Amino acid sequence: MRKIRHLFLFIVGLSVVFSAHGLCAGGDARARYNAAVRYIKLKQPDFALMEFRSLLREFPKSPLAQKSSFAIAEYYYDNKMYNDAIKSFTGHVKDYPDSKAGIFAKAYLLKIIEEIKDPAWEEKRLFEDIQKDFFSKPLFLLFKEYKEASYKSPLQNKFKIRYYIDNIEVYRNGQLFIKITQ
Amino acid sequence: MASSSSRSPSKALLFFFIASLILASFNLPVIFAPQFLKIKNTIEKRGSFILDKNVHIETIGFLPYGEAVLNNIKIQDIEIERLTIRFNILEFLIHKKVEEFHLKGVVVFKKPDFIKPVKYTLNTIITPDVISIGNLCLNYEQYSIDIKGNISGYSSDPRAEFNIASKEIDTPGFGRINNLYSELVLSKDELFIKGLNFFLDNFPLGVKCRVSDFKSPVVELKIISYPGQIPSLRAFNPMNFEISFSGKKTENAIKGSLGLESQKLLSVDPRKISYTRIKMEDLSCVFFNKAIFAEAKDIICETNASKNTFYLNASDFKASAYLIKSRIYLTGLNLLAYKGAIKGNGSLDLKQSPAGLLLDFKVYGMDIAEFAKALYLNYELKGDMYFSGVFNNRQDPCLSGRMVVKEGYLKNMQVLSMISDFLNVPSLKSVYFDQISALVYLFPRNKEVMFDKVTVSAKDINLKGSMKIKSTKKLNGNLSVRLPTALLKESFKLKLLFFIIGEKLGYQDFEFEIGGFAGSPQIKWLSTRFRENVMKYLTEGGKKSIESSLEKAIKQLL
Repeated sequence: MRKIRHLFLFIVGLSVVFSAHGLCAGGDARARYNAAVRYIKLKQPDFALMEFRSLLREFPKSPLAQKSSFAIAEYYYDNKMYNDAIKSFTGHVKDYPDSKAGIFAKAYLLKIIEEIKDPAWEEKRLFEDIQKDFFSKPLFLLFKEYKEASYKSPLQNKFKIRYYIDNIEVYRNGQLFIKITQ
Repeated sequence: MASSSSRSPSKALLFFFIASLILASFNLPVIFAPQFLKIKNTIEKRGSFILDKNVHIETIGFLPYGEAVLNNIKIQDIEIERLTIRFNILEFLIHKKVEEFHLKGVVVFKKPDFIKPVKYTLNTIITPDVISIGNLCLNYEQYSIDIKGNISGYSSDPRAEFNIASKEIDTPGFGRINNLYSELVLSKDELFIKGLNFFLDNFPLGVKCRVSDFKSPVVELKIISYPGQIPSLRAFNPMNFEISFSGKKTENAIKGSLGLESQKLLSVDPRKISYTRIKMEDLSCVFFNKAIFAEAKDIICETNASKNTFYLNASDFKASAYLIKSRIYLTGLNLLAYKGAIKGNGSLDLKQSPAGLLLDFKVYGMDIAEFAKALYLNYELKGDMYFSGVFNNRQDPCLSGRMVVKEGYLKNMQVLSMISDFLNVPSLKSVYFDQISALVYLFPRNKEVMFDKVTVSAKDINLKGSMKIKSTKKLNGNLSVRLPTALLKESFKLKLLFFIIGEKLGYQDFEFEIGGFAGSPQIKWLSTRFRENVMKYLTEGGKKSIESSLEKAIKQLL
């Protein structure tokens, strides 16, 4: 009986240790994310990038990892590091198919390829595929001219996407970012 | 076995000495050679023989030189008024029995009367085994043909091999032929044209042909454009085509199979690979002057454009074709396809690039369900199709006409299913119609098909609209749906809506704009009186409720 009690106490102790570690891990990811966002608000994006990177490296399964992935890609775009941005946005779309930011990652990809002077054949193909992808879901507009969705990124950029009958408009911080036609 | 001269050189020398003395009396130059004696005919001593009033032979020395005139020769349908042969033997080689002839003359035709006199010169060497034609030159007006070759085994198993070349020939009613070159082999059983390459009005063509069994000839024929072009370039050549025929000549017809392949017959995009193949099996052709009356049991058409392949299988083909200049005219075209009939007339202009195909045709009672399978439609369509239109691959649109589909159904068309979910009218998901009519246009330049003035007449449902569909499956059009109010009121929600807005008309019109792609259409409900009333009376909550229930229904559709 005593042995059983000891075994029980051991199991309970072990589970407490593990859950505390899990909480701590989750807490660390959140702390890193919050720190990164703080750096963004302080207009220190380079430090924010370090935090997002370490979050993604150390807590790849955290729900905050996909936000960090998008943030890193946005950082590259803002600094005109287009090759890295293409890789990161493509990776984000591939790794997080259900991400709310996915559609904006695709918009970024279109914008980058548009901005490249002489896009390679693969980039042109990517452009066409993404363009088609934007119109891959049926839409029924009943009472409005468009259907709208919005998203705020970790880099504090506010996005809006408007689905019209024959085109799609993507806004970034209130400015028209890209217009996608069929 | 050594010759007598080699066994006894002194006897041979004595023989040559005596011979030279004899020949010297005729004043002929004599050339000694180790293997043969060669006598050249250059002396002036003449003799004369008259065989009959038309044939007069002279000799110079002892080698014949002369002129023969033959009158009124008849060979089947050809009548030769006068055939003149001037001939002289240039060399006479005693030891090898080789004789070199030179013939020169003119052939004057009486019938057919349009053939003008043909002048000829022929240099030939005759040995016991081979007749070698060094050069046969035929001159017709300002044109000339050169023939070289040899005829061997003429005593037992004759075989002739010739190379024919001509710089320029003008063929009235067909065109100007330039740089003709051909290799042909003729034997007792077979004529084989290994290659006949030429430019017809500066258009390069190649012919290969094998005719065997001359009693009832079996023909294998292939005509190709740009015969020297490598395959990778041919694939992008808009003027590239290949016609092949294999068949047999029977008593009054030619029977066999005919194939036509062209890379760009139905496509104007030079950057993309596409092809059209037409194959006719069990073909029977009767020739009459320049016309062909053709019948075929089966026709298989295959065309590939924009990565899609379309097939048309037809049977019981009948048509007459005749050639005028470089244009083939088709009349009385008649064939059965997909349980219906196609009738029409057309022409194929081989001078144009790509070959200009013009067809004026009508379709009667074709099973559109079978035809739809060939078009890979992602909805069900059934009915008997009638069509009247024109196909012209040199124009944009290349196809235009009016289509009518009678007594059938239209099921699971995504646009109608979405509208059906919105209006709560299940009968829009499966429309059993009396008639669909539309104007159809096919635009190869924009790679789109357009259905204009579409009208679907069905019990309680009337649809009108137009639609452009691109090869990328992109849609652009509009649709108007008229439904009886009584039918709409079967839905509880709409009944309530009608009550709220006080609608009393016997029918309602709904207008939609359609965009997006087939498989993911984008639909916008356009302004009508009914919609404006709904907008006016329905609360924001009510609108959101309708929108969210519609979104759920669309998600279920996917």
